[in-house]
Amino acid sequence: MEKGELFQLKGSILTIKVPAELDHHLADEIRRQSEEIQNEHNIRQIDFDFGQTTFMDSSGIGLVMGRFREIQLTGGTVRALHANERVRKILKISGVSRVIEVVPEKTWKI
Amino acid sequence: MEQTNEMMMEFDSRSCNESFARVAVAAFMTQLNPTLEEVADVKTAVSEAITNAIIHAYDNQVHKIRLECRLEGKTIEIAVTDFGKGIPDIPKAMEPLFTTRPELERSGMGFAFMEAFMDELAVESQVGKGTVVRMKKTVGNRSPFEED
Repeated sequence: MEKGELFQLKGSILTIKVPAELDHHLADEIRRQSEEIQNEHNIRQIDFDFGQTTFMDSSGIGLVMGRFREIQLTGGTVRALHANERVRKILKISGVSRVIEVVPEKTWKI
Repeated sequence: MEQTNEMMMEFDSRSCNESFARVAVAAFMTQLNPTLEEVADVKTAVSEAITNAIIHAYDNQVHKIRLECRLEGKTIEIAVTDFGKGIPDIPKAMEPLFTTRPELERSGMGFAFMEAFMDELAVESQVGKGTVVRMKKTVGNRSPFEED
């Protein structure tokens, strides 16, 4: 997994392109790389882009909540973007959607 | 009597096998003609049980995990067995948000997800011997008018 494919840094906003399946195997990998980036840069916001994601388990919850806890200490925020029905269900059951902003798959602009 | 179908597999407790295991179960259960959501529910539950075995039972060392599936009528029964360290206090382990490994960013939601996504969940464990997680789900018993 190359860093370039998964992470996008724009100013102080880090976007994490979540892969199709976010389980323990990939969550560990993303956590390690994300921590490296967070140590090297002043990140104020982390956006998880779930646009490609069709599967997520509680390891994904651990990843999102881990980033939330870290960035919250310095007043930053975490968002979940392009979350489809499945991802929203997982975020809801685990209570994560109560503490971070969840933006659904399609947001219609008029 | 309703027809049954069974499968069993054993694989190494490597995290790369998590996706293999849940996809195998998903493929096996297509015989029940489940909805996409039912398949996703079962995949999540299987993923949780396998992940628990890898991280907690075996502490990331490589040993064997056994996965058994049985179809009967519209029901799938799944058993995930490890031969690892066992769970000393099962009710505690099943409490939402309880985790013994916060440093690994475990959310403590594994058993809660298994319970939420399956119809039945039973855990047997013996310290030093291992753990069996049994889960059951009947597909197609949801009313189309039911909401989440």
